Amino acid sequence: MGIMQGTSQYKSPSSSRRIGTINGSNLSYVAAAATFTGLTYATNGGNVQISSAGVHGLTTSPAAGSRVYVSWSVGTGVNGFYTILTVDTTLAITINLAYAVGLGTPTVALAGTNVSLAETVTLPGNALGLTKSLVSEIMATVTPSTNNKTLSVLFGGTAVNFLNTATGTVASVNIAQKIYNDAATNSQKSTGVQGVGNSANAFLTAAVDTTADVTVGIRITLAAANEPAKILKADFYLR
Amino acid sequence: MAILHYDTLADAYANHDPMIDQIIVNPDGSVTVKTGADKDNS
Repeated sequence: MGIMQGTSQYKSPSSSRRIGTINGSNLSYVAAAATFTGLTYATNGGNVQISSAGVHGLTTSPAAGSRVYVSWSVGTGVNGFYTILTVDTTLAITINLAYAVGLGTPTVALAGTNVSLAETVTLPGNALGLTKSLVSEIMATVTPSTNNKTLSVLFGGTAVNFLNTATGTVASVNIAQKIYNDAATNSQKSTGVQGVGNSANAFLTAAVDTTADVTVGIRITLAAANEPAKILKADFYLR
Repeated sequence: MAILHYDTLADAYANHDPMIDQIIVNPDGSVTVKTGADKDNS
């Protein structure tokens, strides 16, 4: 048998393929305080200013530039994430949405609410099978504080946490989470917050039918207002 | 315990405290509320 020379004998594993990426210029989220209810809106230089009789708990630094989640009822407003342009007073913020009459009644997502990013990828039906794994490689930033923050992969609607911490020194997250079908196409096991490493906790489970397409996304839960979190990049590989 | 659905986030907040019940804004903007033992704990 001859000696292989050079590097050409190495071939990257052909069985690994990326099924999708979630990234963007501003996949951030910041929650408002529980007192920011009973909202109304007005114009502030042509953009929507949202006001309440209760404080929102947001301050220019760090909240301006991050996104709040706003839902609208009985109007033309579109539910979604909107960047905070300015924190005007303790009772009002202006968001990156052009003012118009008839948008409806706004509601801003409050601390403690689970908020899912609109961006998702699709794991094709039967792609996972009984031999492959879905590996989610995610970089994110959070605000270091002793208030709890939870980041999860949404696997077909089941939240599988990859960060669940109230450790005041955590500012950045780089995680590789693996989920696979455990002997049945509708029974999964997943790594949790340990990523690649050890944990005192059991592996997480899900019961999602992977013979059909599975929507995979990201969910953020922040226990406190004014503590932005941001998904920098999430790559999803089938391996 | 229960799993409930609301048309709007305002309706969910009118009936539930996000620090007690689990209020979930789904990717499509719909709202699910889980209470008690039905809350996700992963």
